[in-house]
Parts: sequence; structure tokens; C-alpha cells
Amino acid sequence: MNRPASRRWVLLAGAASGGLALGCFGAAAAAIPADGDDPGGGGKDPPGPWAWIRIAGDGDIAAYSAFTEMGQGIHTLVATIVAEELEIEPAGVAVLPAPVAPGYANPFFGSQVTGGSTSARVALPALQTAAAAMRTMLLTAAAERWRCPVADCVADDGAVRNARTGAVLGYGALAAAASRLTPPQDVAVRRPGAWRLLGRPRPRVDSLAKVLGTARFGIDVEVPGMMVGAVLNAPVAGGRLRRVDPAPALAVGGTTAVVPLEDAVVVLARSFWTAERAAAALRPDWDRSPPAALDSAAISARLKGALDGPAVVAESTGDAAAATSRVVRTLRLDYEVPPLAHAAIEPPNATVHVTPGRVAVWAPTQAPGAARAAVAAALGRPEAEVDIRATLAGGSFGRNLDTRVIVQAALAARAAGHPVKLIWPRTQDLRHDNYRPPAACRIEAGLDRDGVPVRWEQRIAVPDLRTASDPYRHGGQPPAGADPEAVEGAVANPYAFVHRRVEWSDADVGLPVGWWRSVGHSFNAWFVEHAIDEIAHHSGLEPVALRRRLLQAAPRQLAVLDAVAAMWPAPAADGRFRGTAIHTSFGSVVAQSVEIALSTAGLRVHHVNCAVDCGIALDPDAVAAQMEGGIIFGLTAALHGSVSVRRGQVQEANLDGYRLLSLADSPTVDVHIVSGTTDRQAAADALGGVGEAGVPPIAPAVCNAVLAASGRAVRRLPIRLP
Amino acid sequence: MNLLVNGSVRSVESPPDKPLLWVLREDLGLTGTKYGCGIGRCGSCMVHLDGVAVPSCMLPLAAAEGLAVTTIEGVAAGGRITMVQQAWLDHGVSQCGYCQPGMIMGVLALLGESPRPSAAGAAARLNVLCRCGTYPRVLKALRALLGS
Repeated sequence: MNRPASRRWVLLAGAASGGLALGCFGAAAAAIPADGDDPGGGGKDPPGPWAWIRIAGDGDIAAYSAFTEMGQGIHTLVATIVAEELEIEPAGVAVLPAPVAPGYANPFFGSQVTGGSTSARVALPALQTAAAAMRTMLLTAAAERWRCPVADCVADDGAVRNARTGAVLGYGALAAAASRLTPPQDVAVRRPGAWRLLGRPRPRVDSLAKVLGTARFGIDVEVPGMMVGAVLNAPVAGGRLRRVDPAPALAVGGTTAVVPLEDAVVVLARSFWTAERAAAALRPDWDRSPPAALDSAAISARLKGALDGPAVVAESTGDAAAATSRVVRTLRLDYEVPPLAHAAIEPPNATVHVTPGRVAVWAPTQAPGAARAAVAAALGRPEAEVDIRATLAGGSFGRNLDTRVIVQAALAARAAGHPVKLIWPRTQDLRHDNYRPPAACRIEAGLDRDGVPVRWEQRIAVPDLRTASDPYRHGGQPPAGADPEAVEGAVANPYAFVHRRVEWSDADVGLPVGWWRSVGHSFNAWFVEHAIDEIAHHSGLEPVALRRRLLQAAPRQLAVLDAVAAMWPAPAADGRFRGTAIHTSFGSVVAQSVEIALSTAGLRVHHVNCAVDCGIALDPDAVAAQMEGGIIFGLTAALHGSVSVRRGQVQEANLDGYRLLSLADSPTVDVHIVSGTTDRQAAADALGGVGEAGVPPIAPAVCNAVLAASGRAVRRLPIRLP
Repeated sequence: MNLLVNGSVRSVESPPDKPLLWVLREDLGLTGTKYGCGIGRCGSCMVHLDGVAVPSCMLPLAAAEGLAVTTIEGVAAGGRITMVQQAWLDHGVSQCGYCQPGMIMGVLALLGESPRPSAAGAAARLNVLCRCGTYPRVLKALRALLGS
């Protein structure tokens, strides 16, 4: 992942109909409109396409989240950061979806997108700065009103109090006066040592609505007069519709319209139940049938072939000659992983209302920026007319970086002349996903006399993610060199090999690919970390001891590895086996250690210990939840995850075939948060992402335990015991 | 036909073979019950029929006639949340929250059984899939509710 171009933030303030609003821009952001009009047209909208926080004249406080809430708890973090600086409680901050505007662009990507485990890293400095400036301006406005020194004014529970006189003025009453002040360009944000809310476990702001069933997801959006649609996508990615006879769909009672699109057919009705059945009745004429030769065996053969084909060097470090002089034997280890589906439980959906001057869109999207551009292009309307609001997402994991459903809904709404809510039936979701790419890997490990790897040569064959539809680098540069996401987690590895070379072979397998929770780390951590245990097994070394030896110059990783080892109170009981893995991703270091049992009933993962160093834990309970979720997500892939292809078609069309881990098979999980430094400010500056970093270590940890239990390594996922 | 939902008789005009899930969501505005798979596998559409948890996505409307239908909107009667919802809050279970109504309806039905299942027994029978991976906290909540 790229780093943001700049950590500097520029403040902007403005009047907001009797209130005060503050925005904060990454200095790298594009041209900022000086005073924009209201992009959403609603009373609850930000006063300009830049405001992150607004205090209304009545004292209501809103934060406009550029980040989509999809389970990771970012809305709670947004409310907490604002509350921390404004001296209020998080429940007093209404978190609303931001419209698409340059002021909300994610500085990691230059586009408005939630991904790459970046949200907390963007939100913390930006919202701290904006909220602290807001507090300063409110204090200054109060001091001017009372004609007293600012030092006499104290922000407290939504009001400013005069410490000498005891007089109190609410934020709302001060907001208009504060909005006429120039925002301070240097504000003191609260240091971690003085945090009142951050750094402590706190309940989520959305928990109650979620257990009451009142939380509104994309699929719950209602617009008066809307029709509900189901889609039938072209069977092959890139395929085109020649023609479709609407009669079989219209014969299903209640069907209103059949809308042919370039690469799909949308059926509209009053009920999704009707639309789904009607869509299934259609027999469209597509320009391409699924290629009969595309199947799982061909994909596997293509990957294996790429391991022997041309490759690009992604990294070459250390001293190759010195390494070679010490090598007494070389181990060659080949691995392979299948494509995977996201399978978020909320299927892709979008609701669109097209009117003459405005296109309103509600969707559980991770990529409002790319979605707006795509809708504007599809409808031939200026981007400024397209207003996209991200709803709560029922999971996503990268799935809703895909903007196709939004474009389809917009085209169907325009054709129908009604608002449309389009839902992809589950079978369409699983058969037309942008899959986690399948990948193969060959590691040639040169071992020294002690059996320690000193020369590490790794080749990874995987499709180029940069050729996927790209919400991150919308309008960006064409690819050159190795795909960074193909090799992430293999390059810049903290293990101190004398020489390391990582190569990438671009292996187009004819399947659409996309970003899946932890992306390249999801397979590279398994390749590297299972190989380390295979090497240890071969050399008669204890695997954690081998890792410690290779991590002597990496104190952060070493501390996390030691922390996870210390979480076991006693050796494993008879019949139980353990395996450990560590991986660094998204700025965080995560080690996991599992305990398993093998029996005639199969492999059972009983318990997982997890240690994480994410810089500073802004909410330790939220960090633990993301680790637990990442573990279950990665464990699902290790034990069950497989998308298979036969005659060009994905076989796992629903959740009976695409198996997810069940509650009954879930391990218990303990999470320990490691702080690598006692300097909390330094830790906050080194903030890492946690939404994805919990996924990569679990597959190798489980496979390492299988190796310990059975003496057999796992060469392809999912794990299939003999 | 008339449908008894959350203690009220509601008049429904839909065809008798329309699945209860879509009747609840589209005709009655009860959107807490979710669509996930449409084949009764994921459990996001779990409701109670006379106190028994059933997935509503494949259940024809006609099959619910004469039975008491309870949805997530109907369990927190009188403004008091159930002990299951409270356990969910206490253990910070929900992440995205999408499957949680189905999960909670499933647990409520198990709690109503006599004899009550153990936490492990409940985990084995709670057939609701969660993709965020809230299971470790669901297990903690079940142990708090049912003992270990």
C-alpha cells in the first residue's frame, strides 16, 4: 500500500447556517473549492463539500464520515475522536455519510475509498486537527463574548464555561460567532497521555441499533415509488448481450420491466422475489459462452507454468555471493492457493433515483469516488450531479470496491423512469465476484550448515491486480514493474536472510480478480510462514526459535512473537498440537499461535492466541474484535475456502457450496495487545491498520500445527488431510 | 390474508407462495429480517413461528397463516431489550451487524427450550453464518447466558 503523500493537514472553516463547520484536507488533495454549495440538498448535509465536523446553531454536532462502516467500527472511532477533542461523549456526535468531494479523498489513494486498512490512520490526524481547531475557535468566541482571556475559558460537556465567573455558553450559541474567526493553523491536539476516551475500550455507537434490527443497510433503503430489481450478468466477464426476449420474465406475474444492458439484464418488479424468479426465467443471447477450457485444472496448470516462465524481480537484497558461499543444501517448496469469493452476507445492492438535475445513490459501497465517476460516465451526466452516500455495509471485505451494481441500478432507474433498488441474487454475487486471485509460489531456500535459511529465493505467480477495475487508482498511471500487491508480505520481510530475491510472474488465469481482505498478504504470509516451519522441520529446529534467530534485528516483530508464545500457560496436552506464525502488514505486526487436534473426525482448531502491535490501540476492544474477525475469516479460507471452475463457470453458486466456517467449528480466541514503545505519542504516530492484519497469520499457524501433528506439510489450500 | 406478526394482525395482499421474508421486508416494512442466501442456509432471515426459529426466505406466506410470527422488531417488548440482546451488548458481539438479528432470534428460541441446551449445545445448533467472524464473542455470550 502507498503511504499518504503528506501528513500535513490544512484547515478550512465556514459558517453553516448559524453554525460552525471545519474541514481538514490532506495537503496533497486536489483543488479545494473555497466555498462549495450544499452537495446533498438536505438539512443534515455538510455546509460545503469539505466539512468534516459541524456544530449547528442548536448545538447538534455531526461528523461526516468519508469512511464506510462495514463492521470495522470506524463510525465509532470517528465519533470518539471528535468527542475527545470537543470534551463531549461519543453518543453526542451523529456520524453521517459524507458526500463525494475532494475534501474527503483518502490521502493514501487520492480517491474517496475505504480500504487498505487506512481509515483510522486517516481519521486520527484529520479529525483530531479539525475538532481541536473547532474547540479553540469556540473558546476564543466565548472569550470575546465575555471579554476575558481565553485561558479563563474551559470546554466542558458541550459548552464553554468561564472558570472565573462560572458563566456557561453552549457550543451552539457560540457557533455562529466562532465561524467568523480565522481557523488556527497550528492547533494542539490532545496527547495520548491525556486521552480521556481514546485508548480505552468503549461500546460501539451502532451496537444497540444492530441488536434491535433497526440499523439500516443498503438493502434496507426505501425510496417512494421505487421498483426492485434483480440482475442476470453475462456469464463471462467482458461478455456482451446480443438480445433478450423479455417474454419469459414478463410472464412471471408482477414483473414490470426487463431492462437490457450492455453486459447484463435487469428485471424490475415490485418485489425482489418476483424479480429474481423472472430474471432466472430469461434465456438471453450472449456474444460469448463460458470458455469450456477454463476450469480449475487449467488455472492450476497456468499458475504452475508461470512459475517456470518469465518473471519480474520485485526485490533483491543482501549479498547473494556471501549467501551462496554458506549454502550447504537447498530446499525447494511449491505452494498453491485457489481463488476465493468475498461472500459478504449482504449481497451487492444499490438504490438510485434519477431526476433532471440530480442522481441520488445509496449503496454499501467502499468506493464512493469511483462509483460516482462510473455512474456519471454511464449516464452521461456531470459528476457534480451524482450524489452518492455510503450506507452501512453488511460486511464487504473488498467486495464493494466493485461498482458494477451501482452503475446497473443507475441505468435501470433511468430506463424505467422510476427509482430502482437493485439487488444481486446470491448466485449472481458468488458467480460474478472479483475473486481473490489464485496464486502459486516456489521458494528455494538455501540452508547453511546449521539448517538456517540464508539464501531466500521466492517466485510468486499470480494475476496482476492492477488490471482489475480500479477504484483506488482511478485515472492513475499504467502498470510498470512488479504488481506491489502480488508480492506484498514477501518483499520487505523482516527475516534477516543473507540474501533475498522475490520475483513475480504475471499469470492471467481468465478469472476476474479483485481485492479480498488482506489482498496479497493473504497468500504471501502462508507461503513464507509455512515454509519457515517446513525448513525448521527439515533442519530439526524448533520453529519459534528459528524465527527468533532470524528476527534479532527486528525488535518489534520479536516482541510480538515472544508475547504470543507467552500466552500459553502450559505445554499442549497429549493429542493437541501447536503452530505459530507471524506477519507484518498494513503497519501492524500480528503473531498467532493455534492449538489443534487431528482425529478421524478431521482437523479441529480449538484455540487461537493472538498478539498484535498496531502502534497504539485507539480502542483495544475494537482491535481485539478485528483480530478475532480476521482469524475467523482466514481460518474459513484455510479450512474450506475454494472457488472451483468447470467449463468456464464458477461452481459454488450459493452458501451451501461455498462453505463458511460455522459457529460450532469456531475456536476460542484470546488477543493480547503489545505496545512496542512506552512513548505513547511515538506509538500513535506509528499507528497501524487492524481491519486486515489479523487475516494473514492464521493459515500458516494452522498448517504449522498440522505439520507438527502429522509430519506432513500442506502444499495447497484449503487443507485436505489424507 | 391475515398474518399475526409481533402480536398484531396484519392484512397482507401478497400471493400465498411469496416467501415470508419478502412479505416482512417489502409488505410490512420489517427490514430487520435480512436476505442472505435465499436457500435457508445462512440464517440471516431467522424468525420465530410460534416460538420456533425458522429461516423465512423459503417459507411460503401461506405456511405462516394461523401461526404467531415474531421478528427481531417484536422481541424487545415494552421498550425492554431481551437478555440475549443485552448479552450481545455486554460482549460487544456485533460488527457489521447484518446477520445479528437472525443470530439473536436463533438464540432466543434456544433459550425458550425446556430443558435449556448447554452453551456448546446451543453453538452446535445455532445455524447462522457470520462473515465478520463474531463467533468467538458469540461463544462468550452463549456461555454467559447458558453456563459453560
